[in-house]
Amino acid sequence: MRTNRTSKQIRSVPATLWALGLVLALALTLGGLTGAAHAQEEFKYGAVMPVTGPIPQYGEYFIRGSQLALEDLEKGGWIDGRKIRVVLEDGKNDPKVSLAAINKLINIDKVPIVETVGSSVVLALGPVAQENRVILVNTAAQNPNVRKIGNFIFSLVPLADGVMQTTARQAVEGMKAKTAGLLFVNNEYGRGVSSTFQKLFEGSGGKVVASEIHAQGETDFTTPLTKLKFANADIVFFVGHENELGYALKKAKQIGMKSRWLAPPGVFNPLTLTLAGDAAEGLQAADYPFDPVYGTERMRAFGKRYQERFRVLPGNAAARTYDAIMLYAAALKTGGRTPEQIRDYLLSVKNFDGVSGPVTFDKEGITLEQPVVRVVQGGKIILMK
Amino acid sequence: MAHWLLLQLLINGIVAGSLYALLAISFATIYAPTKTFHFAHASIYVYSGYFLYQFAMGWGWPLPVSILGGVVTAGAMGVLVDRVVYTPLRRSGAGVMEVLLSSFAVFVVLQSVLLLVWKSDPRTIRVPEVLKNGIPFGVLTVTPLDLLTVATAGAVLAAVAVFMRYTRLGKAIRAIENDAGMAVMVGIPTEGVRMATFFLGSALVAVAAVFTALDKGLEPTIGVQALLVAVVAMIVGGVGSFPGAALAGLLLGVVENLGIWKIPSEWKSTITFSVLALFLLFRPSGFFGQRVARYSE
Amino acid sequence: MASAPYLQVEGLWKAFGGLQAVKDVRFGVVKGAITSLIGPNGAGKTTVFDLISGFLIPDRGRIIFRGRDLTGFRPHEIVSLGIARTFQHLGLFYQLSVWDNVFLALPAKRREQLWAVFLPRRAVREEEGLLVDRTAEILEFLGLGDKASEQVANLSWGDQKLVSIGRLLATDSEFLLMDEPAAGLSDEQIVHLKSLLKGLVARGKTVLLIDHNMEAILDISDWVIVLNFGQILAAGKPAEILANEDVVRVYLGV
Repeated sequence: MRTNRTSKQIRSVPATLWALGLVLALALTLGGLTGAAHAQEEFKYGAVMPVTGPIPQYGEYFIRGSQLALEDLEKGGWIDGRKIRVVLEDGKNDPKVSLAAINKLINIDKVPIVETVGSSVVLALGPVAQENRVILVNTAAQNPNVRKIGNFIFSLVPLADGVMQTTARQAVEGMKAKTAGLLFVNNEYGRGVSSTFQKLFEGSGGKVVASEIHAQGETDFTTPLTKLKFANADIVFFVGHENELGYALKKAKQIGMKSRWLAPPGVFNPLTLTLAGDAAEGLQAADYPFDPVYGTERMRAFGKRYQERFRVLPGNAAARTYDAIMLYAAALKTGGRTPEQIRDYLLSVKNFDGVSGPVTFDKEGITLEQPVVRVVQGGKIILMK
Repeated sequence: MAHWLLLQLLINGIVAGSLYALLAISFATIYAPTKTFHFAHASIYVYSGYFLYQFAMGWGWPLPVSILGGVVTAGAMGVLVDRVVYTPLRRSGAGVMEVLLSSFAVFVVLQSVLLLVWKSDPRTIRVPEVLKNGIPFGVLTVTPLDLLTVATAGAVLAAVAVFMRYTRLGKAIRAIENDAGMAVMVGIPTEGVRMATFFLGSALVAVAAVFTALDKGLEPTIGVQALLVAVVAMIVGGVGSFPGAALAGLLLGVVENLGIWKIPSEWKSTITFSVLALFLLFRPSGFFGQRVARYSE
Repeated sequence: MASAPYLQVEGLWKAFGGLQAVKDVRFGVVKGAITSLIGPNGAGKTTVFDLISGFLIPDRGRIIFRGRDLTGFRPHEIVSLGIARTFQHLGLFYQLSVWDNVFLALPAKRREQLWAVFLPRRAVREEEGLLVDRTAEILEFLGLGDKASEQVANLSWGDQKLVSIGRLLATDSEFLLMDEPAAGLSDEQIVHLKSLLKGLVARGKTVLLIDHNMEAILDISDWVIVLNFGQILAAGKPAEILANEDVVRVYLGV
């Protein structure tokens, strides 16, 4: 009963708890001026996450994924007995709010590493991290420009430039599409990924016949879908978040749209499928290999544990958060302390055994993970190749 | 093909507009007689959707009962907000600005409570699939739920019109709107009428919320957008004119949907504000606001 | 006339800033009579009205109505005691019909009368029926029967005044305060007004009215009080007032 209540509270008031944690951290930092040895006792892992705002599910993925990672580290006796503590700031998926948050993490909390998600946010925070020589770990943003920011930026997620080649190939060869309508979210993620897709799709002889934009957190897709329906494209390529896709698929079925749907990775998510119901039938995507139900043994074990704990299956971002923290811990275990040392460690890992799959970074710090193609068939997610 | 799209957009506009008309009337019902800028109306809107969710999905009540339950609970909640927050403030001499601020505070608090109780996850309400699957008319589609929405909104608006015109309570609401001080002087029980307006306005907004929830699902943030539409429609229609507000709501829905025929649909709310701006510039009293402008002191 | 006054005004004082609007005004009103309060503009007539009806609170003095001290009561409390008034600006519900203006002022038998829309129909019909009859009766009395469904905003000034009187009657108050009922009316309308006022008194009402025009209503008044610069200049029967040299001087500006 007691543990039950505790976990419930953590789920329902994370922001407050973390804010409390931050106040404590601040107090410790100030206290550390007189007793430096005291402040040495913990390692810090910073995070700027959308705990509230249009995509709060990502805040939740982070909180849950990091919770499991910390538990495992504790079981393993931490880093020679020294704890890792997560310092979380709510960035609301808003670049301005997130910038203030990372400045605080770097200047006040003095974290060597910060995890974040969201293309708009990663592109805004990247230069700040690079300039301050602090590692920025991206666990969900796909905008290809993330690659160009600098050598302190790591991405555990493959970026759209690589994945979209597979996606566009699937559109042209797998779905035999000649025309496509785009429906994308109005931010760096939506614009970056959809324009990458459009370039590749049109490069392979396809044609984009309509282009519609929706707001973050949109629930009413009647209008853009009506226009797409009358554009009558072979496929709809959707770029957006899980909740948005769920609503869009549902509405598309209701208004009798015939086009098949293709999406970027990460959309085969419990949230999408719950919202869309049988309207998700036929949805395809070049997806991440992470699959908590049918994936590798390690993925399934993580999925099972996560589900028992939180009563839902993990999204891939939760798995990547887990891996990011484990990678950080591994770097610390090798004796790495400064951001430079941690960076060198990360660049050196080969097939790190993560729950999202084996992790290897290319020389620009982007994961080499290769996508797989999946489709929803008969209410199940099926691997196509 | 293009003119078919236009026709489909017109249909969508009428469906959206009929809900906007309800929103406008619901806000005007409270604003016109009490002059309370009830910002927390946005909360009532969201809560009525979540009440419906709780009754239908949480407790498994039959859908019609849940809908009725949601509407009545929302009405009671509106009265509660007035009695617990606005009325004590009013009695201690608070002005329009203080009440507006307190209303905003209520909105913020209720929003947080909502997140605690129902979390931020989007919610959908299970509706018989037949209601949502479009009926094709050639290339056009209308869902039975759309038809039900328009029919219900029409019936409710007609009922409100009859109520305002022919019942003693409705007349009293209009009298208070016209001159609250005189209403007290001639012995109209204004506090009772005030409670009735909060109940009615909140129940009306709940009807709009219910249909939105059934069609599109719920997110904690949908209230402000709805409030915005309600206020814009009320201003465009002419403050104090119920037919004006309803008509403006309908028109707003149609204009929003037709407006994005050639421009990207993300501009929809920009259209709403452009309509507001145009009216404020060229016809600040709205469609039917003239009488009010002439006689209100 | 020798009986104890119905309304007793005792030594009222009221100042606005440096302006002493009412100075030691004292008079009585007899039940079932028409009492007129006259005087030039700025004499303090409306201030006296506002003091009686609770819109203003006197600096000094008392207002006794049927033996009860009303001083400091709020306007709606005074209304509930059976004192109703009209205003120079009328304050009608302009967007409503003539009928509705009168209908709404009728006292509901029960407080929950307004909620009747939600009650079983039979009880509603009975209650509603009584109110409908009463409204029709008042409109008939005022001669507004054929204008019942017109919006008040569209009526002539004279008819709007009649509606304000109708609303006064609907409240069922027995003491009626009328602020300049004759102002702006044609001769013909004034004749109608006079007969109405007589009719009211015949039905047991008591009337206190303000007029700054001496001739208009004087002949139907039972008692006239003349105010000048906030003080009572004279009081008496109409004939006495017309013969009073001070009064004539005030009015003719001699």
